[in-house]
Amino acid sequence: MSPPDAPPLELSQLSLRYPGSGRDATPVVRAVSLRCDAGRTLGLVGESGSGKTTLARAIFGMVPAASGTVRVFGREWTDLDAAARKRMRRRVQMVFQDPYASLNPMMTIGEAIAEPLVVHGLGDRAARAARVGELLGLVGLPADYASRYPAQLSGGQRQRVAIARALSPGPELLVCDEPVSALDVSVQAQILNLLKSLQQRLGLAMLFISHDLAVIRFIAHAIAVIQEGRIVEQGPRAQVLDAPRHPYTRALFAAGLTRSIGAAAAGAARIPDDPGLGRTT
Amino acid sequence: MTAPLLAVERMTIGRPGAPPVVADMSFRIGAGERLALVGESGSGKTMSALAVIGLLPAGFRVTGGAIRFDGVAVDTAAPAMRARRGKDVAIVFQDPMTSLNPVMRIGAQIVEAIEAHDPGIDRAAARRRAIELLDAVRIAKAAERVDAYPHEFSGGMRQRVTIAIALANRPRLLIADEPTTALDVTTQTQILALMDELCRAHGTGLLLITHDLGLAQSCCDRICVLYGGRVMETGPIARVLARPDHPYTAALLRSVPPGDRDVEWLEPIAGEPPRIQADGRRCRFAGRCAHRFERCLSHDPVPVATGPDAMAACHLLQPSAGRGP
Repeated sequence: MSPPDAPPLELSQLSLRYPGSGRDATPVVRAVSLRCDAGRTLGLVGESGSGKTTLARAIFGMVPAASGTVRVFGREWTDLDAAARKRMRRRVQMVFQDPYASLNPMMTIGEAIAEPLVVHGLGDRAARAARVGELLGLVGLPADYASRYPAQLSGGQRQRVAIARALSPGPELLVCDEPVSALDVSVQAQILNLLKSLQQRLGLAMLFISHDLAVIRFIAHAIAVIQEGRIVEQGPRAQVLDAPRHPYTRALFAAGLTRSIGAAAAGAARIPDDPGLGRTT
Repeated sequence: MTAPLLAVERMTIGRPGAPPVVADMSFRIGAGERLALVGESGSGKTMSALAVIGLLPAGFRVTGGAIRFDGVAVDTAAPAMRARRGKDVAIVFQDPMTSLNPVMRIGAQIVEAIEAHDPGIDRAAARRRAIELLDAVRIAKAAERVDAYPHEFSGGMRQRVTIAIALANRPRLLIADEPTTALDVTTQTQILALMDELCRAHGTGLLLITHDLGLAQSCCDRICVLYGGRVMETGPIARVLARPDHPYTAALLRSVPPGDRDVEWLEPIAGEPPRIQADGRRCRFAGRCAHRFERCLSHDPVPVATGPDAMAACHLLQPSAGRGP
């Protein structure tokens, strides 16, 4: 049983190393503490290589902690037996970046959405079919899409299917890793609105990972900024956005603002040189 | 009036037996001018650029219209013309990880580009030039790093190297195809500032291909908005983004999350960009346009002047087109 007041997600002093990199390797995530509450969206913003995706994998127990803890609804994956782990998996689901890679091309849309229900033994065939129809409606797709294949769908439609599939077992925590960055600009707003409305309607706790501060501003209640595996700043949205304290957060803002439409275009030439010059990745 | 550096006039690109991927595309770039070609997937932005530099994928051809360089029509298939354009026109691609040779030292790759268009140059001079170029793209300790391999560099530094290679022969036009999409946000701004500065310093024209309106705004003078293989709107960038004439441009601008203020909901455009250009007798954007009327489904709009050096292709802007009852 989960402790009744436990938050859906709590990371305490979590450090992670790439699997197989050895005990002495530099951690890719260092002493990260984060908390995601029911009915709230935590935006995690950072650049490539900052450790965001490794962190997301650790939430599902796919990367063991080098030190510190990952608690999902108050429990650590390592403390759960196989049956309890499976029950927990129902409550935590993920939406990936690339809707072309995350759906099995041989499965119909209906089969893809029903698969988590089959895995978790939820409902009989008729109940599952009804649930698929309901989920398609929830993500704004016609019910007859259940018999189509991913290849027949556009990128935005596939991402809607991936969201329906993630929601099908009735999760309480949804982790979204760059869910719109592979989509066309004119389609991104549809998916962002959809995720925000689903989060509100279903009272989900959501961890939303993105490199785009404008997207995070739209969707998140609280923001954590990650740089080279460390959280350099976190707090309520307004606090982080209106009074960023860390130089890196300010640099991210400056880079984002030069690119926001209508803002003075003058800043572009005034950015200092590559701080990553010494980096040898 | 002198001819522009590059003029693309009513260009159509396609494969035999298939509908064109680009139709009636027109845009021009003056010497030292910076034009953004902006569009989503399937808009024809990359195909247009590849046609200009003579690198269309196998099977695709320019089937109509003309590409003029200094007022002279170029034959996109002729090898001699291709070689000349390799000197006058250079291209930087999206992914520096794949456009550099991983088993060749950085310096050798720059030297290769220099020698391709200046076969007589001696080795030592070419190497000195390579170091100068690395220095110009702000790679610290260029004299040491000239012998590094691509994997020793970060993504941003690798893109600096591809820019150095592109600028090796002092091209008059630089085509940059999503040059920063594979890079981090803070690195993107630096790479753009660098391209901007180098183009200004040498009077090089810039054709920037991007899906990102904000990025276009930060380093271009003019914009050409593409959709479904057509030009929707073109004009001075500040004006187009502040007061778009075309419903597509306007809708796209409204749909982007604002970075500088809070909004409860975004204003999406319904539907998705067309994947196949099927019907030539309608506006490409009609299916998703909030202002659609009968004519949009039966006639392809022709571009009309909407201001000094600005055009848009929309039936709402046609002086003669009645909106109907």
